[in-house]
Amino acid sequence: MLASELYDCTLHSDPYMFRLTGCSEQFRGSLSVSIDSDGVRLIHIRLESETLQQPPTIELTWYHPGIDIQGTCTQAHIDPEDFTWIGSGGSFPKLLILLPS
Amino acid sequence: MDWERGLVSKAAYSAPVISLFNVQGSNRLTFAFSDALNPVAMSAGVNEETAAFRCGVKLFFEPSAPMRLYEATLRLDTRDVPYYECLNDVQKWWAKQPGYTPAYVPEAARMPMYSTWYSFHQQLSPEAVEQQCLLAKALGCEAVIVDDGWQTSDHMRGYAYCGDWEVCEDKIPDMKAHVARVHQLGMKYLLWYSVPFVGYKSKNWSRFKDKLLKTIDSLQTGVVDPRYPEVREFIIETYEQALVQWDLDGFKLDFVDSFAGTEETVHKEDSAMDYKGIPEAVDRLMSDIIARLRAIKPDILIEFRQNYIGPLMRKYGNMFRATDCPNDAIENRVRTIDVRLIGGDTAVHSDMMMWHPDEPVESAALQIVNALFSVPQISVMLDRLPESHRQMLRFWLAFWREHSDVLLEGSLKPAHPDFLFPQAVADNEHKKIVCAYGDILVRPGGDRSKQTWIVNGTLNHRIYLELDDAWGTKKLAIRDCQGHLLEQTRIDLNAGIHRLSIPPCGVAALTD
Repeated sequence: MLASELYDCTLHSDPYMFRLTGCSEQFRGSLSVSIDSDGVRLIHIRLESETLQQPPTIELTWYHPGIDIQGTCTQAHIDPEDFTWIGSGGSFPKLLILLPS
Repeated sequence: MDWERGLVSKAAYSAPVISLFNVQGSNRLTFAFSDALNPVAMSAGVNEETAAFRCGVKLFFEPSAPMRLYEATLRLDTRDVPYYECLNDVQKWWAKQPGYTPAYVPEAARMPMYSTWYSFHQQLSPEAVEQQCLLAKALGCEAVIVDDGWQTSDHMRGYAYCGDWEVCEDKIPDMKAHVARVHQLGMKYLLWYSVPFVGYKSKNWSRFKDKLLKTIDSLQTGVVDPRYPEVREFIIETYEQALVQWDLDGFKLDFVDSFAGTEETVHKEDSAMDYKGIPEAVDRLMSDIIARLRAIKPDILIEFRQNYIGPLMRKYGNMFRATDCPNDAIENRVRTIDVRLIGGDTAVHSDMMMWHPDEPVESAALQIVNALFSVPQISVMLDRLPESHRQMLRFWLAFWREHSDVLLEGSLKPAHPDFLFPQAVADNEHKKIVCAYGDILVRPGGDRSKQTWIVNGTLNHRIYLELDDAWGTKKLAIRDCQGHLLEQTRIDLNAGIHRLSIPPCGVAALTD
């Protein structure tokens, strides 16, 4: 077992196994679960340190069965800083690619 | 092998939510994170070996403020309901988080506006703007957004001269009088600022060149570092002075999503800074901007642009606009609906609509019809349009104003995000508006509202409607894209498929 794995924590909430990695002796993590009135699952992350410090990079992961899933919806769009402007003066800014959500 | 399909969100960029859905638009897993302030990397990528999605939420991969305790919540929704209901519930959940209460949205934020960007670009003159305002008001617009150009005599685009925010008197000799004349026309006045930019050729470049997060050579500008109180105070005082001196009604605050550091500057330490983390400093800046401006004008209008449309931005601004997509009706549809999905009551605006004056009027109407579920912003020279285009604008803006209660505030049901929303429906207890944007079988659902408008957002001359249940006998009125009444009759709407001869960008009203 790696030293860092000593501080990983897991939480089983059927059908998921949640795993929190990246915690350390200085910054300990814990997970808990609750279910709201709509049946929506809430996973609570808590990180604690005895001293004031910047937390390490941590990641919460789990697996979801890829059953009857065909699309993904996010709010990822093109940065305006990345617009490519064709020509100068009176030309219009031109997006080189159109990115659906 | 895990495929990574992820996004990074933070205070002024995107939103921490991913929704996985099936081809019928039913939710399979929507997960959202409560911390919209700090950088959060979310992912959902297929694992090749197991066909499972490896889902992840990564935190603190960028420097943050030191802390002893950090608490956050991951929300996982696996209910078998339409994906848009899950996303709407996510925005409600965010809005209830401590410190995330959305800003008040004045009624003026929900009225059509005229924008100078695509029609004037930087070549502004007060007389020409006022002339467009006169025409726009008659067509149904209630405010003008004066964009980039008022602060510089340069017409070369780019942002080299941003950062001083002094009116270019060669263009606008008396800004206060100009704003007053627009007010006399019955229009509100919003003014553009690129919040973080201090251009290479600005007078303030020398003042702030050592207080930058980065430079962007392609735009000829630096991005100021909000961790310096001097920087924040400069920005806020600039807006306060403009608001008071010129009697503005609002601000179009651009490029807030550019507040991002480099590998070098995110780790920068300087005793003159009062924040260590950039997100916390952006939060402080934006919170102070709206608080201080609202102290002067409680109904202040603040427009943000897509990318900074997340849950925290809702507390700093009350208008969210789709990212620039000139003359691209389809992109405007996709972007406005994307923002609507998590925008709650915040007024979602279209990108400024523009088109070629020689367009067939039906094609020009596509610009309006595709963005019906957002507040229209018009940005064409109205006096250079043919009369048919003006009549089309007059008709569709009147339609939009009459039905904004359902278009903006009704329950929005955009179908098939996988096909860029070829159908979208908005309804409330009294009416329903159904827009078809593709050559599809339109499925409007039930007849609970009793009044339904079917909008043909295509260039076809008919719509096929499929009813699961009989709607009974209805009055049918069909209008073209200029509002001309083409047909008025009664129609028996039994369960099944019906052909309605709605012309391109026209509309059919079905009422009892």
